[in-house]
Amino acid sequence: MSRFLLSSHVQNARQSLRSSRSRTLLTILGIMIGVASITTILSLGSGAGQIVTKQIDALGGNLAVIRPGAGNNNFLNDITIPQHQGFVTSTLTSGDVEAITKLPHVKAVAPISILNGNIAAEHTAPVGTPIVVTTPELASIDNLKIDSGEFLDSSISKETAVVGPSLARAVFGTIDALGQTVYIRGEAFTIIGVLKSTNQPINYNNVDLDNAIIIGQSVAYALSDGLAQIQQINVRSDSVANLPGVVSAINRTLTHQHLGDKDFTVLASNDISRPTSQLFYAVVSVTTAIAAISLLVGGVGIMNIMLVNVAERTREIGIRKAVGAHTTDIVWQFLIESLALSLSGGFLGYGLGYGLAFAASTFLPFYPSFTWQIAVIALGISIVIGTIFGIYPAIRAARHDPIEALRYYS
Amino acid sequence: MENSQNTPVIVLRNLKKRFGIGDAEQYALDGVDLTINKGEFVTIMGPSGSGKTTLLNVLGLLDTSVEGDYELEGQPVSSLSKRRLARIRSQQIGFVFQSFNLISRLTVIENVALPLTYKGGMSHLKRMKKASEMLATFHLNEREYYLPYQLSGGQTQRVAIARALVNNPSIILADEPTGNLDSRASHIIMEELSDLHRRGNTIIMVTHNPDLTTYASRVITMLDGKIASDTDVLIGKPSVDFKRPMGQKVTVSDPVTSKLAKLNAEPDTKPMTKLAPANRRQLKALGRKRQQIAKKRTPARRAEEYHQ
Repeated sequence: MSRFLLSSHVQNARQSLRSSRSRTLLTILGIMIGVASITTILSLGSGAGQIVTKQIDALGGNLAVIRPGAGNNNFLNDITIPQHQGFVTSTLTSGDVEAITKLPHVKAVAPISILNGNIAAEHTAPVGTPIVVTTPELASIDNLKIDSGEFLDSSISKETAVVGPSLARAVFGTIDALGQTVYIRGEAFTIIGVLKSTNQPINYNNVDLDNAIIIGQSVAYALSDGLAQIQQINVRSDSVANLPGVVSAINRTLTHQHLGDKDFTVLASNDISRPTSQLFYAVVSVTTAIAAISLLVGGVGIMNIMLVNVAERTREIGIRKAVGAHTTDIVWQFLIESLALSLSGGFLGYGLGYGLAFAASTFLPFYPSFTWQIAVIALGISIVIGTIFGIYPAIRAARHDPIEALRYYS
Repeated sequence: MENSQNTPVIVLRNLKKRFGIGDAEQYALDGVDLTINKGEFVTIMGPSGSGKTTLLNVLGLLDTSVEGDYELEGQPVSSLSKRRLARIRSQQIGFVFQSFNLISRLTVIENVALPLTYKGGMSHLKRMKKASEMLATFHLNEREYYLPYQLSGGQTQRVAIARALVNNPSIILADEPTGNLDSRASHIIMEELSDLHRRGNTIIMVTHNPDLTTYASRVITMLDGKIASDTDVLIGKPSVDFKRPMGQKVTVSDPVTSKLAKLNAEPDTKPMTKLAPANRRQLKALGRKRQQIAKKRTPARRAEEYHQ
């Protein structure tokens, strides 16, 4: 098809679609809704998937995380195993923490255990509020900021706790909770610090620190009958360059500690965010598939309108063939018309999708992400839909016998 | 022109076109042998159903499912691909239809430029320029951006002829080009066609009107799919009485239609959209009256009119 013929087809499509404005707009709307929903889901999903990656990057990239259980590359396991695993005995022990601390190039080590229990002061905290058991090093590893007071300190009394700002509001009715007493599993603790709000409900620690209370390890053993259920060990190396060495050293040491059993997983840098990202991508894939159904409906709308167009313009097809149009010319004419419909829907839907995503993000702890992939997907699927649903009407148009078509009266 | 007179452009040998199968089988063309030389003005006459239009469709390569031989400028048509046939339609053949067959949503100039689009190799601007030049030769340059419905019948047919000629085709096929026109418009169209003939084009025209044969150099009469007579005529001045309406559908007995015809026959420079308010009222009243009459018509009568 020559360049001139293509431009003529495009002009023709514009004229034809303009001549039936409301019909065209409604058809475009169908595609627009489909593309908009896919764009919204993908941009939000990708934004959510990047939360943890961004957090890790912000922490400087010299972070490693050890989790119980053998790691594998099966992403279904990553997303289906409950993240707290509070009811499973962890394979990580305080002995592991000590061994890791002694390794060269390890700057700081902080085990994290999560207990459940009653937290009460003026008000009782909601059931399921996590009690984070850790060491003072967590503050430096996770770069935790203190709003008032200080973080855990091994040199002061054991019955002290640091509270997240949201929990402080829930339990004490104020963020100014310093020096207050809180009862955890019936034991009295003094609040020595209130954390600054992180506003990161989704993070690699799998605990929302804004809504948690943090206590020291030694006192926690007493609360849980001497059993330390370590869910995660956060390790920071002295430099990014030494991180791979530290990871392999941890692997060696822990395998030795566990008598040869590889019942733990060491994750470094971007691998840490993998389970969370994959969980989001899985959710995004499923919802995108559902949104794609609306796109199919839009596609059927295109086919319907194109069939009407073909029927209405049967005589025109006859005339065009009589003045020298070949079958493929007619196919292209109608295909370009359906592509014009779907691409307009695609462009508008892409814009609308981002509008919706930004509107939704005001209620969410993350922003939609702008990636070229989403633009390509949005426009790619509009082209595919336009072609798939436009080809049949176009072929049908082209197959019209010119003599029959010329006799046709609309 | 004299030298090219004996060059055959179209040669048909035992051409047959069959419709239906089994008991319903019938031949619309039943063994047609015909040679048309370059520069001839051929009129094909005959009663309804004699195969005139079918023959024209076959000659114009719109209908290729035929038996027998058809050679167009020395090339057997059966050996040509569909793409080649489309190319020939675009470059060598110009069609003029009774019902004009302009695309209603395209402007006059776009309609005329349509064959150039499929010829290829011309930019939009070039196509428009050429179409404009062609329209100017038909004194329609002031109507370039009108839509077909804004033109009178005669003007519309002149646009259709301009479209047929825009690619400089060697053969012009006209299927009752004056069938929908009144006597005045018919005269103009026939003058245009005979002018084209004088310039060396081959014209093949189907008509019901015996008066129009005076323009032709050869008259073929068809009957039951066969050529009944084939006579050469001397080209002279047309002996048509233009005071009498030539259009088949215009009957003097119907006062409403004759009045409408009179209105239609108003000078072409006066489009319907610019009618004076008084004329507009008159036309509306005529329309209402016509509708009332139409309601009284029985289906049988309507069918009869349709076949006329």
